[in-house]
Amino acid sequence: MSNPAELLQGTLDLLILKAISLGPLHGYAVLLRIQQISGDQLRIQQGSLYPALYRLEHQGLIESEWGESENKRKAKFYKLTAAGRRRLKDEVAYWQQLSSAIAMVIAALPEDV
Amino acid sequence: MTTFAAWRSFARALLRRGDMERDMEAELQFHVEARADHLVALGLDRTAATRQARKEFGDPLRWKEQGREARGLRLVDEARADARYAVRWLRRSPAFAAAVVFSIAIGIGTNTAIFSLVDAVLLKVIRVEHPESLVLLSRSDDQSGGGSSFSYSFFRRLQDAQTLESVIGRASFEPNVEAGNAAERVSAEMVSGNYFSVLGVRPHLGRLLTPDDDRIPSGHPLAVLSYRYWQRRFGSDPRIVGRAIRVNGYSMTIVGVSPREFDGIEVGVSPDIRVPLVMQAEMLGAQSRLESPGEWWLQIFGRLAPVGAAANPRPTVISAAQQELDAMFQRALKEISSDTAPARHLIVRDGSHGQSALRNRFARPLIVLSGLAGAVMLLVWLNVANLMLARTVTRRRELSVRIALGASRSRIVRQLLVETLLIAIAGGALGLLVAKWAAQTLATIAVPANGASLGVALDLNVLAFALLLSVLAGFVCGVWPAVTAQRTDLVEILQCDGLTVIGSRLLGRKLLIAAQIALSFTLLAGAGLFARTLFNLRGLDFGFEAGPLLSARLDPTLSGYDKSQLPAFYDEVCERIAALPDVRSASFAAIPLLSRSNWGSGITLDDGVRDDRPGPDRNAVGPGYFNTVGMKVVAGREFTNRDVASSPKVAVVNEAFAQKYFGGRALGRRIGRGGADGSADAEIVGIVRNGRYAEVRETLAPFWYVPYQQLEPLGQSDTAVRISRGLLTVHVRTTGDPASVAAAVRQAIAAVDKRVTIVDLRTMNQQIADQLTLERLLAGLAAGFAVIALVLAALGLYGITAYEAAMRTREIGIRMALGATPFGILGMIVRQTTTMVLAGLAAGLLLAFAEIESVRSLLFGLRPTDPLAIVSAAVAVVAVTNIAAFIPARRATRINPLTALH
Repeated sequence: MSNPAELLQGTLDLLILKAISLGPLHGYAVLLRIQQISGDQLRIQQGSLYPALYRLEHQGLIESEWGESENKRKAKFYKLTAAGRRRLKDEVAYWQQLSSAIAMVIAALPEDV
Repeated sequence: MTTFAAWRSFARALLRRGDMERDMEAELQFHVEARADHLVALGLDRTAATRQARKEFGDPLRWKEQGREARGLRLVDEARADARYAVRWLRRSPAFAAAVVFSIAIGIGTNTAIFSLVDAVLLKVIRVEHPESLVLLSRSDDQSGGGSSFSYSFFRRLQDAQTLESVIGRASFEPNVEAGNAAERVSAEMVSGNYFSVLGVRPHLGRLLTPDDDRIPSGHPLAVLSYRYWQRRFGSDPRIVGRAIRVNGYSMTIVGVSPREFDGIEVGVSPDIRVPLVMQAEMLGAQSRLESPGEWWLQIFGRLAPVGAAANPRPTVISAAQQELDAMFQRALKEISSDTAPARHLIVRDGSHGQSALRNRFARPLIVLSGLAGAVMLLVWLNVANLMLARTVTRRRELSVRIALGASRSRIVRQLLVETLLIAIAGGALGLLVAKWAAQTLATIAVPANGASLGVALDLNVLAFALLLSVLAGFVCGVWPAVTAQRTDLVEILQCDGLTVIGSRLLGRKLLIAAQIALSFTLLAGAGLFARTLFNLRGLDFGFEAGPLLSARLDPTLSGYDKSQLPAFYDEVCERIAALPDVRSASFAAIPLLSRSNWGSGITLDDGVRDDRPGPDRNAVGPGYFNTVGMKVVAGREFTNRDVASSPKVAVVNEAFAQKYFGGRALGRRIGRGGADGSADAEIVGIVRNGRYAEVRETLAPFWYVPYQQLEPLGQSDTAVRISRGLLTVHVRTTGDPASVAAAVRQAIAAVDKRVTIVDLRTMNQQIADQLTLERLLAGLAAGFAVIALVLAALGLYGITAYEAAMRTREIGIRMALGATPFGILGMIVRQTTTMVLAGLAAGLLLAFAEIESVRSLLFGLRPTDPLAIVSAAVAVVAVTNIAAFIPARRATRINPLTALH
């Protein structure tokens, strides 16, 4: 396993929104899902997830509800709101545009210039 | 959309802070446990797994703090900490906090109260529809400044004016109203039929008067009650409509109740009932004035025609209206052929503030009072600035330490701002209480008769404005220097106690104190002038003896005496009163003394000379009048009960009259009233001392008297009608305290005739005091303000001297060690304050001279440059400031060189 990449500034929100869009999750599960779907390539400092979650909730993009975890513990579950869904779409579109642009830049050969 | 969500989330976090914290705690806890479970599942033992999970998670405090920040709570938390800190800091210096809070409270309170009174009397717009298009008509020969009187026929003629959309007429009167079996005197208004519709007033109950109620003279016996009268007198009876009341004995049917918020269009007068103008004769129990163009009794308001008003600027519209209406007025004047009358014009005034008899009398004193209050406010700001500046020096060290420990500058500014705000809010809240109390007190003192109906509402704009400026003053002087100082002097201050920066700061404080001294001197000088004015007026020779006098104004209208019966009625009342214990004598007069009413009818002399412009005032009095009021008869005799209608006509004149018209030799000469039909048919049988008749402040003028019994038939002016109907005043001379016989006098009058109303019963001293309320108010408030000002200035001076002395302890120690005497040290310190005091006095003198013109008309018996007032103000300032400087200076002389230099 190669060294997991540090997260780019501002991408954590996108990852959280994406992870939650696949179904309601509690905080730890969000972390696991990001790691799982990224093939363990992204490393997030665990606690830093929470300020990000609160920020998203504060902005009305996600909402939370207390429920029971798979281990029968009381856990807070997050799900996407309509506003969050729209934001996710925008962010994804923006990210794809950005990454394809960056891919093009780094793929450029001397003769392309 | 997300902003809304953010506000909701912020509000929830704020309001349910405990829940939020618990949730956050539980959630983070869950995460660590879930991670530990996971690690256990991967094969770690529980203890190691938990440790590992904690390590991976990071510092929970940090995440929580960031979580709070994410919810926008950080500012709130910091503000809360700031407030806590501020409260703690203020508690540590209670004297400082109290000084600032109280000075703000006093300044804001008095200013708000006084400006509220100004607003009620001078500025308030009457509560009617579109007050801005209302105009009030007045005459150039009328000095009252309010609405003047016009004739009913002129009012009718104005209906054709092109520049006015509508015209309303009104006249106040004070009838006896009987409802059920109780009679009382109320305030009433005769109004034209369109009054309510033009003013846009809708009924609270029943209906209001309409133009149809104003068509046939004497044909509409209808009345509208005011909301307050309906509530007070009829207990808000919902079935009041249709009931009858008797107004001056004439039965009128109640048609409705006007709404609660409608006070009418005269400031400080809220009529209890309103009746149609055409009922004038019945309402006054007099001959109708509707048809006579020479009777001026109606006040007229107009509403400007919208055509002109919309298209043109207001002054143009007003002057167009004035041109048209004055032309109509001149035509009307010609018709009544007032022969010798001087030229007069009609003036169209702004009617949006209603009509006010108070305004003219109160405008100048209120403006001066506002000026005084403004000076106090300025002083308060100076004081707050000074106190804050003083704090700054001591706080700078503390602030430097906090900065050294990592506090950001903005954080410090914010915290100081919170402190200033806290003080200002405390001062403002206290100020609101002061204002509330002061406004009502002022209104009742200034306008004793109708202070309550003045409707003084606290002007919160003034309060907010004053508060804002106080915050600003505090901020500029407390926060700004503290913050700018720390930038430059951080290290220096921490090293050397801040001593080095003190010198320059003290200059600012010294200037502030000099300004305070200037203001206190001006206020003191003003207080001196007003106090001397009051003293002069009180000590005035009125020409009669006020001390033992009691007067009662009677209204025998309901008894229906005719003119020949009235003298007998009054004679009997006076006889009964004179027989009471502690009463020396009693007599009556048509015009009560010092009641602001006068009555003139010109004069005709036996040599054919006539003086009608306007000629001397006169009075009609009963037998023994001069003896009763203590007016000395200097030559001849006084009226007796032998001067009756059938005996030869006689008159008494005062010395000024005798001097002006007869060169002093008046006895035996003949005089009579003026006018075309006046003849000199009364012989002067006595000369009395000059006096003051209508007002305390009036100048000595010719005056003459006739016996009431010999009075000729009078005209239709308000005063003449009152006299003809027997509304006279009984003056009672007592042997002791006149107030103590009041009840007995009341009984004696009732014993003669129960139906007679006593309109007003009070001692002459009370009456004089009532006339001097404005003067008392001015003198009292100016003195109060001056004392506040001087105390603030003295405290400031004390503070700065004490501070300076403390800072110079070392220097003083050295001087004393080198042989300086305590007296020398004392002189050195006091001398330094003298500069401040002298600068303040000089500035104050300039300020005082600049204000001379505005107070001139309010003074009596002295000039605005009265040396006594000015010198005593200066002496007071010098004395108080010297004491303030002397106390700390003396302390400095007790410094022991050994300890000071140790």
